[in-house]
Amino acid sequence: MNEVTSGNLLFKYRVLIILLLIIIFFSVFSDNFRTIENLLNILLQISINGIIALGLTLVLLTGEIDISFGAVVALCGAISVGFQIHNTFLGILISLLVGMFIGFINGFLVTKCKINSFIVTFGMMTIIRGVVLMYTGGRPISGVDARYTYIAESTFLKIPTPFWIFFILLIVAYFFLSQTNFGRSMYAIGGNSEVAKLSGINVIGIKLLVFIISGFMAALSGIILSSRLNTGSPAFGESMLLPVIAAVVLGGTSLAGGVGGVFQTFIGVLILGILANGFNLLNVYSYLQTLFMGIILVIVVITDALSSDARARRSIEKRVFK
Amino acid sequence: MQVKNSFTKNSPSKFRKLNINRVIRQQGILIFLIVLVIIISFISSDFITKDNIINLLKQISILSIVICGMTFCLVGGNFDLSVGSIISLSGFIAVSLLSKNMLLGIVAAIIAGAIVGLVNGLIIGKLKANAILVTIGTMSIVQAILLLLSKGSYVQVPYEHPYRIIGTGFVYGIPVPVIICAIIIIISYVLLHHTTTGRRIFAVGTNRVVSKFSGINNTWITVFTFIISGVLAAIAGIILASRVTSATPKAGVGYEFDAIAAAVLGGVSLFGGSGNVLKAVTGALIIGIIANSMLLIGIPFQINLIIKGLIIIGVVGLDNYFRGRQI
Repeated sequence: MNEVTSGNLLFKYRVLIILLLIIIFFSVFSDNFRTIENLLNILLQISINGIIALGLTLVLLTGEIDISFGAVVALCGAISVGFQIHNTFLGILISLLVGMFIGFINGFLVTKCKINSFIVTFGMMTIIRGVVLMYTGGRPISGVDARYTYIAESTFLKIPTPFWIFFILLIVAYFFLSQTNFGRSMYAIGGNSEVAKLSGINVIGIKLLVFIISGFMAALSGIILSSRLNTGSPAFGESMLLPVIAAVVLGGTSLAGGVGGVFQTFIGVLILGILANGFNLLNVYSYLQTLFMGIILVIVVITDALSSDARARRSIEKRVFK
Repeated sequence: MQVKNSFTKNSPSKFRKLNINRVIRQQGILIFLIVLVIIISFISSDFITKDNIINLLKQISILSIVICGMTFCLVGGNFDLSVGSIISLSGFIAVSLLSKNMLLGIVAAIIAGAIVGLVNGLIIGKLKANAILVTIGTMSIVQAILLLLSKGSYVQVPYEHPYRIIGTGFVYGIPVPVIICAIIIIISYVLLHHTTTGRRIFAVGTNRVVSKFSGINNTWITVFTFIISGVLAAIAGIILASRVTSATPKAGVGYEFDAIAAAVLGGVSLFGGSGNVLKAVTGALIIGIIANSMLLIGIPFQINLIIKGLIIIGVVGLDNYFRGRQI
């Protein structure tokens, strides 16, 4: 089964190949695309969705789902902007804690009360949207501390700080998943929760942790988003839900749990980010962008299904007929 | 549910005496609905009035129609996230063709819904692609096509046009959308729970491999569930456009998650193979009653959202508690 054929290689690196094709396409057709400034711009643009996608990847790996992140982004962005009149750092800290607390509640309801995670996080999303509207009064709120924009605007070694944050979290998450017992346990839980439990893995604890991490990531992303204009808006995160889920699943993380990883998610986030950036540079109308995004998504899913289907058939044929 | 019932029918447990726990376990959602109605009718005297009940049924009829279709998809083991965009599309097609021919517009709208469903079903059923991603993809495509067609603006139903009857008319004091909704619920119920095709949908949703080896055409069943979901979403879109007397390219945004939430509230499994049309509609009724009663009691929108979220989590939590297992 481990033989290396060109077909297997193509299958293994299919998402990377798509990424390369997209990069080549835009490099050929847009002069502005292949500049260093634009590259840095892309890195800044993907960081916000990317950080959430990391958290979501971990949740999906354990076989659960978290769709409350859009609302958490709005709430935590608003809180950290709103607290600037008292203390900016305190505001950031509080909004991170709020994100983790929401994650904890989600995790508690999923693990202890055994409520379906889709329902829990859908309910939580609705609740938080209500809270955000109460907190902001339904209007965008502006910050008073100009230093706050530093989070998103500053650069380190010419690379935007948000991307550094995203990159460090990516490396940490990768290490966490591949090198620690915790990480392996996540795959085990996603693969088969019952077996994992019987093997002595603390299923409840790990799922709880994963939801807390997801809440933290959403809060962090909300802080970065609000820092770009020093504004917190109740509408933040409303259109984030589907792109983030699409990026994660595009990367190859299964919604059924147990399959995937954070680097795959990084590729998925890159593909969607570069598509959006490239289309903007080519002056494609936004509805045409949506159209192309949809078509590309469907094509990717189809090729993915075709290749995995063919692979599965081959392996079954091998087992049955040989 | 159907599959499980046919197993328990012959088992001795059926002859055990009827105890209250079992009733709660099986009809938890219905009991919650009754309790909710009783509580709200105590708080607000306007709740149990003929006008309000008719109003309430009118409000939930559109969502209920979408839920019936969604139940088919969920039972078959798939999601359909494209229903929101189908609602916008069908409403837009129906209203823009009004100047030519009303019937033509309605038929074209339903066909459009069926085509989107067919494409979804073929890609998902034939190629075994991930349903969530495919339907997110078709959702964006449909939305983009709609924006291209409409150029971002809305179309209005002419004043006193017969098309308005679909959403705002009455027959013997009952609103037309409620009648359409009731007919669709009955047809869906019979189709899913009392026909061979319905049983096959359950089989495919429970275990694809087994259903395939039992001689069921998985692809056709999947295509069928998506066409149903598309057609019902299209009908919902036609009614919605008629009720608000205009069609906008964003009319259906958000319906997909409301529909899934209501269906799961009604005990439909997200992993396929289990669910009941009537219980799914009960889920819609609960969400509708919450929204309606909040308005009657005069609770502001923000708090309305918070309470809605709490009740959604609470109902499923209580249901789990009484059933003693996860859905």
